[in-house]
Amino acid sequence: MKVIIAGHHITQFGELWDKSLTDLMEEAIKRAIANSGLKETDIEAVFVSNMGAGQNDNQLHLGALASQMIEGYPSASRLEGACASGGLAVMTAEQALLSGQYKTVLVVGVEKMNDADSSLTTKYLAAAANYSTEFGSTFPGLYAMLANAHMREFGTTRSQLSAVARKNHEHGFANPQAQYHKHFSLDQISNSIPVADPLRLLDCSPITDGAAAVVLTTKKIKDKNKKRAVIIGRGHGQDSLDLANRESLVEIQASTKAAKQAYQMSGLSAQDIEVAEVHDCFTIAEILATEDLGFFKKGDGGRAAETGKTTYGGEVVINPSGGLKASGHPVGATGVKQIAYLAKLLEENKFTKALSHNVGGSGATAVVHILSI
Amino acid sequence: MIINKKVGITSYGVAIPNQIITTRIIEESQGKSGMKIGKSLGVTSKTVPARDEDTITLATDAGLNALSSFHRNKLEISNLFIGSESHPYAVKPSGTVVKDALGLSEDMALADLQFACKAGTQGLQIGFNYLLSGFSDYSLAIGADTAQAKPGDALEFTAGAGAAAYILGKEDTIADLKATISIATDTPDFWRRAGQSYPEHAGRFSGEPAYFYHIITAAKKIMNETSLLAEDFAYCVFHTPNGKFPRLAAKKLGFTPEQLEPSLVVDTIGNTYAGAVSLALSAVLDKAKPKEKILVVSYGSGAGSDAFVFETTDLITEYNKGRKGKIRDQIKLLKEVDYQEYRSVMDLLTH
Amino acid sequence: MKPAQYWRNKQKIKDYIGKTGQVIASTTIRTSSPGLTHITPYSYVIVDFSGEKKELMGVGNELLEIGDEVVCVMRKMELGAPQELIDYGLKVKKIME
Repeated sequence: MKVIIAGHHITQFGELWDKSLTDLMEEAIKRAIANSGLKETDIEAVFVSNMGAGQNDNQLHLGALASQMIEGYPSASRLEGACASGGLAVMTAEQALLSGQYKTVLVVGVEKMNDADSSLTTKYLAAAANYSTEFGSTFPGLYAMLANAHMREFGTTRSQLSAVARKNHEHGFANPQAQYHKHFSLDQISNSIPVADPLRLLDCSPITDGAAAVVLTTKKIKDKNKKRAVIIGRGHGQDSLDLANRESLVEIQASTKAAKQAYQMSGLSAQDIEVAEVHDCFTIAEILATEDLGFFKKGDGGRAAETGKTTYGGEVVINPSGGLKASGHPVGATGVKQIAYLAKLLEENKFTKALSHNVGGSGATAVVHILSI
Repeated sequence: MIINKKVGITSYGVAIPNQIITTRIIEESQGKSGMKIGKSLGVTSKTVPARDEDTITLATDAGLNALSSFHRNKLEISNLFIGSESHPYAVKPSGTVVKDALGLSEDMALADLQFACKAGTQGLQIGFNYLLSGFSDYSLAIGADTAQAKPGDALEFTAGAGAAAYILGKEDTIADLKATISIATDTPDFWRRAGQSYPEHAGRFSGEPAYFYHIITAAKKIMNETSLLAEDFAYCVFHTPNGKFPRLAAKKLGFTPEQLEPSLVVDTIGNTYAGAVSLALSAVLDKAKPKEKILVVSYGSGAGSDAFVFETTDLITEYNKGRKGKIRDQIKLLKEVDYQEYRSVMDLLTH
Repeated sequence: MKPAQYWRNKQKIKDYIGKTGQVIASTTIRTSSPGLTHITPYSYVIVDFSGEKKELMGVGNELLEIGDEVVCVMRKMELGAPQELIDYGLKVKKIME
């Protein structure tokens, strides 16, 4: 049984003052279904991915909320795994399809972050860490420690971190829904406000509102006009929630594990992947990802970014959408958006083999998908 | 009272913040540059707590320090009296937070004390009495403060922060208690009403009728009772509201500058209030030799004095060898901060 | 800080206070959550206590680096409202020579 991406939609990402959580959810759901060419009543189950609606909107039971937006009240649930919520929701949806329980389902990821004061957002993002053993940490602080470890062990430099951000902002221009269409120089990035040494403001993905949805099916779709992408590999890796208990501070082993499972299932290797949407919540996270996913040797990720290997004309195009950095990171939506964006690129014949990589917290949870067309 | 049973200090530890503000900066902030107020007070700087320190954390640091050179089971400590005029809670004892942080026994007689700058030494006297009564084998007495002073006021030059903890026992003492007395009178030299952030003080009235009356009276009382003259003592320790008063008190009582000098850490750390005499005594004990007598007289506004005669034992030399964290070692680590940092810290402290 | 949480937390203080270890990973946090802005910037480190690793904040006004020998002490943690319990917890500071 193959899991086909029948339809997809990504909303605008950014500071969307005139859109509420439910507005975003509804847009993503309705437009994804329209894009699929199916009817609302074809959707048998809906999986919602979100991290902060409980805190920000006092809204839980999101599954029920989403289900009400689809005619026929499909069975519904919500998944949360911090920033990996989207990947987990897609994974869970796939299990439901592969079990035979359903034939067509919808996954919607949504996050409304900008209504809250940014200091409260910092606090709730820190909830992705181990609150009792990592008190005082901030999300950037945890990744900053990983950056320091990577710089000490492999000589990764400040300007290599900046190269990742600069490249993603260039890529963002090709994504109409990206939060930012802005050029940044290496200097501007390296000298932006310090957040947690060595990370600066422009090493960090922004606070973003947005939603994305995909319709997944195991039914054959007869459509001469449009080829559809297929998920040919999936993997889900896990590691300790807190950094102190990781075996390595220079590898996100959850990513390595997830990638291994996905490569094995698909019969492909890293060299076969032409394009990837990886989890660049911070620039160092992209460097780690490109190594952990096998695109470059451990320690070479910084140099690869600096020498153009991760953009068009290089070895593999990393984050064509602009990544979390330039297109934005509405936490619950990202994992779904990555798959939606890649599906569209494959449909447009831009690539044939794609990989998505979605991470939760400082690397406790990782979900990898491989798409083909 | 002359003490005929063997009780004394078995170990001690001190804690001061690692930052100071100079009296020169206080002069500038008060618009009194060049008036050499610091010089006339005999104080060049005072300690400033870090933003995450308070009386309880300083007391815990001092207690930890004292425990590190205490070679008996800490669970045998069965009373703790902590004196301060900046207890962080108006109602909830500082002592219970400190004792649980240090992992002391649940079997504990405990209370917070307040008597301005003599609350720390009152705790010592109570601790000794718990030993003498047979109630405890070991006592812990702490004097600790993060003193507040009104911006622009004279006390702003000297109100500092620090803590000293003493573990008292009947065996293996490094200094024995030979005698102790206390006096108390209703003298209104310094007070703070509930709900007020800063204390009031009575200006020059805090000199003769307050500090000097009580210190001299208590000193003379205990020296008469023990038939000891100034020259019988190796050292003397008097409360240090500034660097000037203890020097005058020593002179009036017939002590030489050499007898007083080792106790004078006030010039660098300021007046650490309930920690002051305990910290000053620690500076003396750090360098004392066996069989030396030390006169200690504290003063607390409101007002009263505790006086003690200690005599060091043969164990003190070994005790001091290689011991870390002495007051003068901590003084070496002090860094200066500016007036803005000092005010930010003061605004964070509640008491 | 909720009373029950305060009461459970203090166990950790007495278990670790005075313990020494070495800093094996660090950063300086310059943008923090509300409740900790009053002591920002502060160090955030992973300390190796003879094999057991813990993440801790550095004490106020002291920045730590990888390799520093540190000791656990008690300090004030999150700044709460003036009527709340005072949040005390563990932090690490450089060992005095």
